[in-house]
Amino acid sequence: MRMHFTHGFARSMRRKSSLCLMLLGSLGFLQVDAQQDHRQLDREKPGERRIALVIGNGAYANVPRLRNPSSDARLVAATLTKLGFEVLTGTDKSQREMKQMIREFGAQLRLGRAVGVFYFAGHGVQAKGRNYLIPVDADIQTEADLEDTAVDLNYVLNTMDDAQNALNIAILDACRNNPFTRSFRSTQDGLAQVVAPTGTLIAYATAPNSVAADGGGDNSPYTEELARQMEKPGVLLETMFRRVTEQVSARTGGRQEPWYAANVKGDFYFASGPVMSGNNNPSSPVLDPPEKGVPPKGGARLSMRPSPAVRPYRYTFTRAKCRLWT
Amino acid sequence: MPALDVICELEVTNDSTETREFTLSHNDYRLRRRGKDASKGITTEGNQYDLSESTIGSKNARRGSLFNRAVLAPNVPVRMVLTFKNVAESSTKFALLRLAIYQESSNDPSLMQYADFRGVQIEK
Repeated sequence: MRMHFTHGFARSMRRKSSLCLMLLGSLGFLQVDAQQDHRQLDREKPGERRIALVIGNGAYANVPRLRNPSSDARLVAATLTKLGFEVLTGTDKSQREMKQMIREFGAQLRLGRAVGVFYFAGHGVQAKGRNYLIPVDADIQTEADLEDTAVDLNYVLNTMDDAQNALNIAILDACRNNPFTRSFRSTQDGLAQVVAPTGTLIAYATAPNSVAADGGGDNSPYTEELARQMEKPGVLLETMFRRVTEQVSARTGGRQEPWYAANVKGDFYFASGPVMSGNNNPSSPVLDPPEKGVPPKGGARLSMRPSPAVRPYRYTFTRAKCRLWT
Repeated sequence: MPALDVICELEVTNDSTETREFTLSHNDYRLRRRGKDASKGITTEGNQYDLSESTIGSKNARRGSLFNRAVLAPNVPVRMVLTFKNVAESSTKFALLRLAIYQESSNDPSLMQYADFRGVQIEK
């Protein structure tokens, strides 16, 4: 865990919630050495930061509790820390706390050409084609309550995309059964498929509209396999997620098939392998800067489809009439 | 400073001979990322507001939506309602009201058309 990130967050949280400090302090892997961390950061080149936000919600107040998200979050946080990520971790977070963490995460991403990873384990539901991550304090009676009491996945993706960084990865182990089906008009389980913004990979624990298992052990099948595969050196990002899919599908007899949507160019490795030789930082990604008119050199960056010769369609608009609504 | 919603109403007509999808951008991060405008209003005071909600015919897009898409039959005017939230109460005019429209069914931000309205009064 890198100190400057974690402590910045902890400082802001200390002012607002002693409960959050208790949670942070209760996580064993958050033991840090400020001097050591700063030395390590000094060695890193600008643009080689890796930043992750990991949230695991299991202790729900108004819907069935989940046993594993907290330990899932710890496992993923520990794995990402080993892989050179600065990890902001939270377990059993309210909506306000989740949004605060997401904002802090976005601010950190914007500071440099960081690679961002967002991981969420807990209840996730879809309504009318949109995905919502459920905080532990959510009291949801109808679909309409989601907007006010849950966290829209688009909010997370927008925040990450706003950072204009080279690569973002969103991982959702949140497709466990929809606990609100009785009060929802649409009773679709799982999460809806969303289009990955440019420079983003979105990974789901199961296929769209399907349910993922919480797992019988300490971790969900997906997160357990994810952590294992992330640590394998020299495996391309997309290949790594494909292997997770294959392994989880095999372990669950095809009942759970993880899925991902990628809109990424260039190569990224969670753990470096032979392809990373010559790079002084063994865990740093090989990425080009975000698109600013700079030609790609195999790094993650924006891509724009060449515009075909398009004949604009014709529409006619009447004059707009605007009024203040009181 | 007090802020209110501004509601704009207008009609759009598909001038072609074929039915087409009409897709109006909201605050679409894909556009921002490419330095392109999404739908917005700029008041004469210079304040800029993103399109928060819209209705095209019976199709609604709420706050947070990337776009609103409706199918337009040829030569049939369809009512549009645009909502800009938290506009300063003192605002009297949009110097520019810009509608960003995707090409037919494509969501490709590189294929945008803009409909600009200038000097649109904001009635009290």
